[in-house]
Amino acid sequence: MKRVLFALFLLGLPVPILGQPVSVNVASLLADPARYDGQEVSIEAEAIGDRLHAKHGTWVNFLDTTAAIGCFFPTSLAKDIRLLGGYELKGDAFRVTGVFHAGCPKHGGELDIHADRLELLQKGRPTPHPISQAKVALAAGLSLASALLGFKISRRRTKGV
Amino acid sequence: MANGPVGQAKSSAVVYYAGWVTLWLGLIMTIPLLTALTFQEWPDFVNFWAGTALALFVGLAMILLTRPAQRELSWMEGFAASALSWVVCMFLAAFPYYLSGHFGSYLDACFDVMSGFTTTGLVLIQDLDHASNALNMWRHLLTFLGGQGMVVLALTLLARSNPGAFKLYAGEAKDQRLLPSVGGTALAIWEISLVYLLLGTLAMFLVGLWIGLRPVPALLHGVWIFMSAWSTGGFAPNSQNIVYYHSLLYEAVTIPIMIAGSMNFGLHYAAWTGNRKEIFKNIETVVFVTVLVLTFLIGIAAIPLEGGLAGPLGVFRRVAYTFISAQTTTGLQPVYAPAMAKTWGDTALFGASLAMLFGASASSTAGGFKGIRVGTLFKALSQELKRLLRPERAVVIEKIHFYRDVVLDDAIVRSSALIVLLYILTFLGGVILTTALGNPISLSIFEVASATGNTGLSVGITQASEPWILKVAFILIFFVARMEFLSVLVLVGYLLGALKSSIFSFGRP
Repeated sequence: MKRVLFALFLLGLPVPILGQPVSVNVASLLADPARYDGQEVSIEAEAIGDRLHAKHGTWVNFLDTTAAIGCFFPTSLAKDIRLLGGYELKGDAFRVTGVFHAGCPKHGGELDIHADRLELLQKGRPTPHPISQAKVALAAGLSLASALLGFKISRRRTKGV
Repeated sequence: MANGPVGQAKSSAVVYYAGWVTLWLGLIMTIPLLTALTFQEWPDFVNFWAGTALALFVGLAMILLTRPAQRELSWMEGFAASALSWVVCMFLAAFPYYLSGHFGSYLDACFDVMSGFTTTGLVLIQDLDHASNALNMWRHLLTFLGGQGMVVLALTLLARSNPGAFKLYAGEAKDQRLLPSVGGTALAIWEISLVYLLLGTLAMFLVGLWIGLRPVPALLHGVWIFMSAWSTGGFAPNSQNIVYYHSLLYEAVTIPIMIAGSMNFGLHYAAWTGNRKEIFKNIETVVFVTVLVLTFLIGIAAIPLEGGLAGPLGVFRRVAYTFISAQTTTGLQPVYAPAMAKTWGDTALFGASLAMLFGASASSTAGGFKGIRVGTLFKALSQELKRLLRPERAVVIEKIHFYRDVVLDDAIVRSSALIVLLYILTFLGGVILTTALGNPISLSIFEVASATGNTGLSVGITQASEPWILKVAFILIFFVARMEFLSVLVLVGYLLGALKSSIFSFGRP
C-alpha cells in the first residue's frame, strides 16, 4: 500500500497522506468528481456572492483561480466569513476543508463540499475601480457627434425631406 | 442585384431601417446606464455612456445617409434589413462589454452579444462573479430583447412609416400574426412578455428572499433569472449558473417560466383570449411533450446511478431539469459543465443533444428545428407509410392541428424539410470543425447541438481559450439558427450584390 501511495505521489497525483485532506483546486474537483467523492479535501478560495439559507446550515460559494463551487457550513462556522466578493469587493480568502460529494445525498445530488474548517488566508478588501479619462473623452466626443447628427436629421424632417 | 439606381435605392432602404433599429439599441442601452448610475458603478457608467453615444451616432448616420423607401419593402429588403440590424447591433452592443475589461478580445464580446441576442446562453465572459450590476443588466436585457424580436418593435415605436413590416417581422423568423397589423402583433408580444416579467420577477424575488438573498440582490437576480428563463436564454449573473442558488425551490420556479417562454406566442394569445383547449390540441404541444419524455427516458436509462444522482430528488434536480432546459432550449444548467462531460456518458449526452436540436415552438423565444416542423415531418412519414401499406387507389390524407386543422400538402412538407435540412447541415459542419480542433466527438456533438439549438448548455468546450475560428463559427451558427437561415442568406447575397455593384461602378464618370 505504501508503495502504491509513493507511486501516486511520484506521479504528482493528490493523495491523502497521514490523514491530511487532499489539497486541490476547484476545477480538478469538477473535472473528475468521482475521484474525490467522499474524501476530505481542502481548497484555497475567495468567498463570493451571498450567504444562502438551508436546512441545518448555510451555503457560501467559493471561487479560486479556476472555478467556483458551493460549500455547505454549519451556520455558526459560516459567521466567520465577513466579506463576500462581488463587483465592489474582493471577498475574504480562506482555506476551506471538508468532505467533497460528487452527488450529495443530503442536497438533491449536488456536487458540494460539506465544510467543517475555515482558515482565513487574506481579509477581503474593496476593489478599486478607477475611471479612465480617455473613455470619458471618448464618450463625450461621441455624444457631441450624435447630437450634431440628431440636429441635422431633425432639420431634414422639418423640411419634410 | 443592387446595380444602378434601383440597386442603390434598395440598399438605401435596407440601411435606413437598420439605422432605426440601431438607434433603438442606443436608447435601450440607457437602461444599464441608469443601473450603473443607481449603483454608482462609475467605470461602467462611462462604458455605457460611450456605448449609447456610439450606437446613437451610427444609427443616426445610417438614417441620415439614406432615404426611406417610398413603396412597400420587397421580401429581400425586409429580410436583409432584419439580418443587417442584428449584425450592426452585435458590434455595437459589444462595445460596452469590451470596455468593461471582462472579455479577452472584441471577438469574445461579440460572441457573448450574439449568444444573448439569439437566446443561446454560451458565454466567454471572464470573472463573471465580480461583474457589475450594470453589465449583468445589459447581458440579460440583450437576451430578453432578442427573444421577443426587436426589429419590428423598434420600427413600430420609432420610425414614422414602416412599409412592409411583415417582411421585417418574418426576417426575424417570426410569422405568427396575433392581430391584423404586424406592429400590433409586435406590441402584443411585448405586452404578453411584460406581464409575465412582472409576475415572474415577483415570484423569483420572493423565493430569493426566502433562500437568503438580501432584498436588492433578490430583486436583481429575480429580474435577470426571469429574463433568462422566459427568453430561453440561459444566462445567469454568476459563473455557477443556476447551481449558485443551491435551492430546489428556486430551480422549480424557473421550470414553468422556461416552458412558458418556449411556447408559441400564438398559443399564449389563444390561452389569454379564452381558447385554452388549443394548448392541449396544438401539434407543437404534442411534439414538445413526446420529445421531452423520450429524451428524458434515454437520459435516465443511460446516466450511471452510483455516485451521481442521489435518489429521486437528484434525478429531478439534475436530469429532469437539464432535459427541460435542453428541450425548451433555455440552457440554465443545474450540473457543472466539466462534471457533466465526465459523468453523464455518451448516450445521455446524445439524448440531451437530440432534445436541444428538436427544440420547442415556432414564433416563441426558443430555438431548434421547432415542434411544428418536427410534427409535420413525422406526419408526412406516417402518411408515406400508410400509402405503402394501403391499396394503391386509396387516398391517404394527414392533418395537423396548428390553431386549426391543416391538411398536409407537399409545399408544407417541403418547406419544413428544407429548414430542418439546413439545421442538420449547419450542425454537421459545426461538429466536423469542433472535432477537427481536437475535441472528443461526443462532447462536440453536445456543444454544437447546444449552439445550433440556441440552447446554451455546455460540457466545457466553450471557453475564452478556444481557437478564434471556433468562436467565429459558433457566432455564425447562433445567428443563422436563430434567423432560420433565410434572412442571413439574403443578406449575404445582398452584400455580394452591393460589392459587385461598387466594383463595376468604380472609375465610371
